Amino acid sequence: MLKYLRTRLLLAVPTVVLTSAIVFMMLFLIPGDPASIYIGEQTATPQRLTEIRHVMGLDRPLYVQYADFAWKALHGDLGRSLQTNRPVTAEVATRFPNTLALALAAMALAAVLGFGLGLVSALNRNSVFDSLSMMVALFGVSVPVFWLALLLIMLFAVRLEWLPATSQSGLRDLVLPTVSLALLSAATLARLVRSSMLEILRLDYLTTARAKGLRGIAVVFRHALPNAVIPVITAMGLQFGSLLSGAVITETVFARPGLGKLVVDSIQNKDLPTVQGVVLVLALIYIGMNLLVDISYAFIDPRIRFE
Amino acid sequence: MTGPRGEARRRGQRRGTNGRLTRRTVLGGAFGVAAAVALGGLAGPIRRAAAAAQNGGELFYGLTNRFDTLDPNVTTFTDVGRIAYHIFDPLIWESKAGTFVPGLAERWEINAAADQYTFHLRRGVRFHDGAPFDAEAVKFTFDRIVDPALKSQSAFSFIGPYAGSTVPDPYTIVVKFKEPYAPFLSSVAQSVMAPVSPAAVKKFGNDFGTHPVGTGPFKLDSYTTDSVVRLVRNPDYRWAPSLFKHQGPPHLEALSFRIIPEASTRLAALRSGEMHVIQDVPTQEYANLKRDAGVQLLQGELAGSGWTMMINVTRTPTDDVRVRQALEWGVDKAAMIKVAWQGLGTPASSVLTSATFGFDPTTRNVYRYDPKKAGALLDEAGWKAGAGGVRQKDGQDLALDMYYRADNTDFTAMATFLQSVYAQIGIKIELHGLSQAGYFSAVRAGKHHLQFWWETDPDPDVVRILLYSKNADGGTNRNRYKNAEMDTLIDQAAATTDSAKRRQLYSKIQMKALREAVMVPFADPLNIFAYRKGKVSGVVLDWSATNLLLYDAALGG
Repeated sequence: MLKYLRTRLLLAVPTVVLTSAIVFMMLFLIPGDPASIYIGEQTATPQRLTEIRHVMGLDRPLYVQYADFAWKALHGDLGRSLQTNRPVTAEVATRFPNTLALALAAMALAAVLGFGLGLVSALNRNSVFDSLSMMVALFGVSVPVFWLALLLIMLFAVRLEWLPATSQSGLRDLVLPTVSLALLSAATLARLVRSSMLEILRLDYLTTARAKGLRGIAVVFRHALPNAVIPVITAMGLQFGSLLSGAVITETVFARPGLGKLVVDSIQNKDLPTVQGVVLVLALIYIGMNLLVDISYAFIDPRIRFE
Repeated sequence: MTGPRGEARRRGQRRGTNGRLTRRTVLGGAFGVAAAVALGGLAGPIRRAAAAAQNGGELFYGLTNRFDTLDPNVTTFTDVGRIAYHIFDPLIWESKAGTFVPGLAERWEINAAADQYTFHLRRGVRFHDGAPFDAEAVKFTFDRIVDPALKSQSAFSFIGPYAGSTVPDPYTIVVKFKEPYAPFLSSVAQSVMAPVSPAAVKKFGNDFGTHPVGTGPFKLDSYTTDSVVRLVRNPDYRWAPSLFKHQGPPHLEALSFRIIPEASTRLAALRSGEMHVIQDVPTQEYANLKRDAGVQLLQGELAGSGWTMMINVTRTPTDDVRVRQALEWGVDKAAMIKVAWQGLGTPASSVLTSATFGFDPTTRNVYRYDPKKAGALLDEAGWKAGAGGVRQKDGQDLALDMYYRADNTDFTAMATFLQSVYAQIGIKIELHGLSQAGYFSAVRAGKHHLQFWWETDPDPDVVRILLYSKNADGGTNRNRYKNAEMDTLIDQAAATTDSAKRRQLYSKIQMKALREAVMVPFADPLNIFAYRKGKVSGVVLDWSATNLLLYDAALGG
């Protein structure tokens, strides 16, 4: 197990390096010059643009720029944002807790809803409950996040005045963004749990268990669920990553400062240091999540061992 | 360090897109016909809400955009100006178009050539860090703006052909320019030119943008990037300009600017009571809000240049003045306002908005919507009706390339409207909706026939950005219009401090631009703010309808 972990962690290093190099190259391939985007519609002489490029360090050869970035990154310095002139580490650090809190809360809610609905459906197959749960799931998959978020604001902030329309930090602020972000994941999970459970419930060993007189609850939770959960965990790991980086719409609607919005804005502005910083953090999280998912298999299913 | 001022200067604020937009995009082009009159209490250049001073409390203001920095000398965002007017004091204030009152400068003189300005500064003013405010601080600020290392955006444009400053005594500063520069008074009234504390700049260095220190009525308490800027009362404030109703520290104990990019959320936050004041009210909600007893709207027309279309005069067929004039006659501005801006708008007649100093009302008589006249001009130019309704000459279709930023909802609405309206006079519009980077490279290279513009600016010298020859090659004059007579007029107007003469010169410029059909003006922009009736008082909208000044504001009716 330890050896497996060590290998996986070592493999993460080239992954991160490669990711950052590819992102660096890609940003250079996108048309547009960061200095001229920075100046925008302000009048600027070619001379002024050259000066700004120089101040931004963009007049150096590409490999020098990348080497400089990599060397500083190794020392924990991700440089300063071209747009805000703030240290990238600070830009990321101020938003990361917000994004993490939102992603964790949404993941938790999605898990509860997803497993709840999925199990109810699977165990009451073709019943009214099943149809209802799957309708809720269908709604969750198809409803636009943007619309749902605004609806929640209208109802809970403007009409009922229970919760704030905007979100910064704190639990109260987290409720509405969590609900609007979690619904899609919850719906996906519900459908996955349902189909996975249905497959398992058909298997012979469960018929045997029931024939031996085991109670329904024990059959479901001790014997069926652990076997049904493996594909669901995989999906959850992937979803957590996209919840972290894909919360742009939720963050924008609720005016919540987070990584999703930061990365979109930085790409549009070709703010290289900031994009690099965020991508680095997200890459590390993805790698970490995948590792956690793999390890969890071993705990859930004794047949899987990493020797 | 810069070329001639014509190239360097640009006074407006960036028009925007998603993350780094200015108010335009989200506002969705809010316009007002006679709305400013209809709202009542808006007489006079400064529009005030009913005033009743009540000390204390924290006011929450719903801002629109994430911005770059709180350093006024660096930023390009209008929203930073809205905050900066509370942290910083400008040297002088503009109380209405072309009228100035003392701020940190008690009085000022301009030499006859308009290339040297002397400001006599107020004594006893202190920065928030305790350092005394003096002429050295002003010189430090101006020299800082032109230092390339600062990467100044708006302020660098506003400072124009700055040559340097001298400090004959601690409370006098003499500012010199390489060329006559009459717009400097309105420049120096902008928050982007406000003096910063030299001691604080030295102390915080690169991080001054998150630790701004000025002389204003409020000082920074905390700044959470992309989220909230909280200011607290400056208890030592004793130098309010005459524009305000009271003296001494502000009534409010604290003032929080909350960044809420999504317009519907911003409005919801006002309705739920989380915000006292919001900006950029969505036009779709305008009618509802007018009926809402709990909400007071505050609005005014922006100064500068409104929603316009620039025409590339160097490309065939728009190099033919008759084709350009056909574009002027052929657009139904009232219908465009209905379609693109929910009917909220004033048709524009000039490259200057009617709120701008020097606007010439006789421009209203030059063009009106007349498709027949447009057709006759095209006939005269040799473009005859062809197959499929598109005019042709020598086997060529009359097709014009229109470039615009697809991430801007206003531009997209304008483009599609114009495509259909110009089709009626036989002009085919090829739409090229691009991303920010793609758009910039295309129009700077002059690949377009048509492209849009708008520009907020306190001074009519905005015409330099649009029509001056030195800005023509890949610069902001995307008309690529080069005319020696126009250049002379623009230079003369910028060198004239006599307001009657200045007005005459700007009138000539506007008429010349219209006659030669260099640009098509569509509509004059309007800014709409809203606040909770009975919960806030003393809210002041400045003459340019850009900034809400909250020094006099108090909570409670």
